[in-house]
Amino acid sequence: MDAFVWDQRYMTGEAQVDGEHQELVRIINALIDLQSKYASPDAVAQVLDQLVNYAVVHFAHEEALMAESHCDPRFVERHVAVHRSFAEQVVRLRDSSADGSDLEYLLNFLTGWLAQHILGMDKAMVRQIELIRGGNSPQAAYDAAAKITTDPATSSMLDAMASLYRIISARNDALSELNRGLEAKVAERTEALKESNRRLLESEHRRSTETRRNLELFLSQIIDGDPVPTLVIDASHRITHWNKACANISGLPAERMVGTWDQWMAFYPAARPIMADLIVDGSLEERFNTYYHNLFRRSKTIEDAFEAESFFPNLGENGRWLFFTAAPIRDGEGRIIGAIETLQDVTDRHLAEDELLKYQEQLEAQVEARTRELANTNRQLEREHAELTTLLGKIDETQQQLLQSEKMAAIGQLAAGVAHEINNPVGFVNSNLGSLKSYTGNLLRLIDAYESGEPQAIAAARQAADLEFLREDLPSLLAESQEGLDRVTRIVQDLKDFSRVDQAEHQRADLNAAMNSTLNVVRNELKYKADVIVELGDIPEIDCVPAQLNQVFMNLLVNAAQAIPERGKIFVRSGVERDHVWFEIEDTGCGMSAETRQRIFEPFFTTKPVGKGTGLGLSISYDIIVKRHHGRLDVHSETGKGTTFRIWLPIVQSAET
Amino acid sequence: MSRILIVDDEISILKALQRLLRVAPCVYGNEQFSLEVVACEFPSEALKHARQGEFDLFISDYRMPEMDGIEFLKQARALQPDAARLILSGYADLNALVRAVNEVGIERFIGKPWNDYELMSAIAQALAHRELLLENRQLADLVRVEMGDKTAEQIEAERLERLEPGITRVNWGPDGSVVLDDDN
Repeated sequence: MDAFVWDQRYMTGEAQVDGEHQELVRIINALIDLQSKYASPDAVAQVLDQLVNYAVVHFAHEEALMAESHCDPRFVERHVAVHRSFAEQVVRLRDSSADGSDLEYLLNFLTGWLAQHILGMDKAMVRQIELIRGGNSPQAAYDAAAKITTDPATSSMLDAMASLYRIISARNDALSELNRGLEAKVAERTEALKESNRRLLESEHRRSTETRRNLELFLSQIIDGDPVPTLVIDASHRITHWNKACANISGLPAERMVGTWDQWMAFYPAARPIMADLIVDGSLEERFNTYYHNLFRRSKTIEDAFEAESFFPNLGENGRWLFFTAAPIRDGEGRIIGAIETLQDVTDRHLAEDELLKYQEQLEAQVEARTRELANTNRQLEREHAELTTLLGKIDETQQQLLQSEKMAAIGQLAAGVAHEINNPVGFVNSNLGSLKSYTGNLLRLIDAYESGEPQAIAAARQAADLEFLREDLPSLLAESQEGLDRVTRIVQDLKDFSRVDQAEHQRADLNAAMNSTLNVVRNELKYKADVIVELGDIPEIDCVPAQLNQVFMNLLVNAAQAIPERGKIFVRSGVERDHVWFEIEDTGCGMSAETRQRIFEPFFTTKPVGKGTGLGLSISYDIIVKRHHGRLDVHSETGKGTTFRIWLPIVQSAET
Repeated sequence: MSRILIVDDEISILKALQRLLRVAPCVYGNEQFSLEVVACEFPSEALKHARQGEFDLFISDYRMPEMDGIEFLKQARALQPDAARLILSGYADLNALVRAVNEVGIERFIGKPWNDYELMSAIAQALAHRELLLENRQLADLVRVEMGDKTAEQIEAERLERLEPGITRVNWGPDGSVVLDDDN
């Protein structure tokens, strides 16, 4: 802030007054200087005090001067009021700005007020005094002074400032009043809060005490109400809790036990530590081994806890089995301040276990008895099994014999055809040989006649030999005989093929060839009943037993011929489809009814008269195709129209065959 | 001249038999038969021949297509009851043999392969036997006529009946008409 600069305008002409005004300006400037240097509030307060004191002295001098000069009382009164007001303002401002924060505001007020006061009030005073000294009455002087307005701007500014200072003063007063009110309120509130705090503290204390009591009660109730016998001891091994269940099991009431060190009484005839005592001592394992050798173990569920199970002969009538668990009780720092031990009466379980054990023994005895029985039965079964096996062997043998007899029957059936077929050529060849013999005799005789050269004999011999006829007949005789013998040879070959021993093994075989040889063998059987139309397709060789399949082919062909009442047709076809080859034998015979068709594969089922068929042909065929070759045998038949058998055979047999 | 009808489905057999019957002597006792042979491959063809001319002997195979030997001979006997019958077969079971004897009254059963001599003897014997029977009947008829047991008309009717079985009987229809059976 700028310093208060003193100049000629502030001179009133009254020497003492001007000197004192200058002194005031000096003091204010000293304050401004202090403020700019951020001086300590103490130093500022000291100078402020000096200023106030000096102002009071100066106001007194001015008031004395006015009294001495008999100034108009109205003026004097106003002047004094202004002085009082200033003093009050400064004192108040000084107090409120004791911390120095409002110092600048105070200084502004001081300089502004001093300048306005000197230029206005003080100059008016000096002019009145001069007028009174000049002989004017004080009233006249006052009126004259009031009229004199040095210059209108200054005067209006002085008025404005005067009102401003009044407003400020009023504001300050109001603020101070407000402050005081506020302080009073704060003090009141503080007092109320203090009271409330005190009450809260008191109730909190009461409540915590109550809670602790409740908790203790609660804990006691929990422990007491626990159906599991429970006892608690403190760090000095004194019993603090002994619940009802514990009282029941031990027969010792809580009143007797709580507060004593007699916990052993419940379990042992003489004093000794119980598990909870060992836990409190922290001696743990080494002493556990002394008292609970091999009986205790660490709890799996509770840390630091130990469990044991033991028989207490003193408890109850017949003693009791107890499973007891003891765990340490620790305070907030983890120190052991006691131990809790629970006891579970497991007598019933032990009894049940004993029962179970007994029951188990009984069961074992029973099992043993049963096992013996079973073993007996088993031996018997084995004997029966052996008998059955023997029987089965016999049945197997019988079946083999049946198979053989079926084969023989089939061959017997064949025999007619084969005999016919062989006997016919043998018959005519033989007969032809007889004729040839007589032809040869005639020819030889003719040659003899020619050799003799006798014309008569030659003519007679020619006549007898019938040479013309011989010429014609001899070649055909020989050709026919040749053909007859060929037929015999072929039949024998077919028969050999049909029943070749080397075809009784599993081998790869061309079944078309097998079918042809079978057809040759039975053709003589068929030809009197049917025209055989053979339409064999291209098929690969397959894994099979050819001799068995020949038998199947023969059965089906002979059956087909027998199904034809007068004369019909038999179609023989073959082909391949994916991994199977198929053979089809279709006849235009009488067909079968549905009932017959369902039974044809049953052994001994036959539609032929007794003695005409074994009833085994188709059942054996089925066995050969389905069981031995893993194929399929399909039948389609319609009464009056004929029957078709279709054989499916896998090209490759699976390994297990 | 004796007429023989041979049926066999095997041509070679027929030809062999024709050769044999052509050259081999057919002799029974002092009597020698000269033979005329008709050979047929099918029974139906043979029956046709049987309807057209008289035969002294039928020789048939047993197993043939169309019909077996017994069936054929049955029909042949109906046509010509006085002809002798003979079966020449490579195979026949007991059933067939029994039927042949009981139903057809065959003279002989000869198996194939045959022995030429035996076959010729059998043929000669059958022919001789037939001749004897016919002669016996003729003589008996003569005696019966002489003794008045039979009239000449009756004998003629029997002869005609033998020649054409059924010719002496009239088949009356229900309305009095005469039914002519022309299936032969």
